[in-house]
Amino acid sequence: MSEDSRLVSEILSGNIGAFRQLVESYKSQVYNLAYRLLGDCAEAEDAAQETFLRAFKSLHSYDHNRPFASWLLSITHHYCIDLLRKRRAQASAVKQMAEDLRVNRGRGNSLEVEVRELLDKLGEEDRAVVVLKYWYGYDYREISEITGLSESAVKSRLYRARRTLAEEWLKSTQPKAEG
Amino acid sequence: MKECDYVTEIMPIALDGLLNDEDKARLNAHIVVCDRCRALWEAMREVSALLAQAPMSTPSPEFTGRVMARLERETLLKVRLRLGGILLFWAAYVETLAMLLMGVLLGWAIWIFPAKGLLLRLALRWLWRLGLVLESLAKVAGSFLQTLLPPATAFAIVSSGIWAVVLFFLFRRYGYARILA
Repeated sequence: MSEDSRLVSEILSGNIGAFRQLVESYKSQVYNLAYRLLGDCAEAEDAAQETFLRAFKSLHSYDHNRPFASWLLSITHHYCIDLLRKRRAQASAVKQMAEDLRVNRGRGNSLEVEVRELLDKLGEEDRAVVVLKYWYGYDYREISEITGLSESAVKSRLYRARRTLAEEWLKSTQPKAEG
Repeated sequence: MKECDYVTEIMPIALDGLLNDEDKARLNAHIVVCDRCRALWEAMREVSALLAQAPMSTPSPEFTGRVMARLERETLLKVRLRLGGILLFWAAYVETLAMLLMGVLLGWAIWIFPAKGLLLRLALRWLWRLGLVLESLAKVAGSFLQTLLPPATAFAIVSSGIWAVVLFFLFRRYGYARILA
């Protein structure tokens, strides 16, 4: 039995304190995915908290044969995608949000800003696939398990995302090179 | 143009280092002669390097504490909701029983007790014995219950209204899913 499985069993038998260890172990992974998808520190922190609360409530349905990290990231992914879809639907609020994002992003270093701007060029599902590939090193099967997409959909999304990113990169660097 | 399409297709595979020797040679040969594909390939590699360089973002140091505090609040709320739910259930249960009993006694006192003679002729022995018990109860409470009918009806209407309002606000405040879970 893995350490994560042992902790889950402990929590299910009533030791809520054991959940602290799981939060400590996975907070960066969960927060990073939320941040890369949502693009805003405060929103990402809220989403990460919500992910852990949802995970706690669904612990009884956790399959011990599955890596705990990918189960948790799957909850994060679905929650953030829902948030992004709601955000898109709230057309009137978008301008304000974009303004907030610009303010928050200004605090990052240049690499962060560059990465952020690149990821913004992608649709939400494509962005999720890229983040899971580059930050987590997951293969197609693992990404497919987390996102709920088929392996072939993951492959084609990653292909499309890489191409879009390269084309956007070219667009943004060519004027600099010429200038 | 066909070669450009093919080479563009295999670029992501090359990025993952999974290209076979033949395709690797084809890619390398093509980007020497095609400026557009060479630029795209370079851009893909640069973007990949950039993304690979970007570190994992970390939440604030208070993150774990915040999650645990929220968890404790939610757990406490759940316990309170459950206790509240149990209390509500028993209160409603006791009220329903009281109303039923009142209804039986009222019914006996108003309709059945006056037709006692007919019942005695028609009914079986056990009903006769039950009738005796209810008769003595009705004797004690009959006139009293008859005067109680209007306030009892008003009480039933008002208390049902209160239940409806309480449940409405509970559902609105905490959501159907959490209360019924």
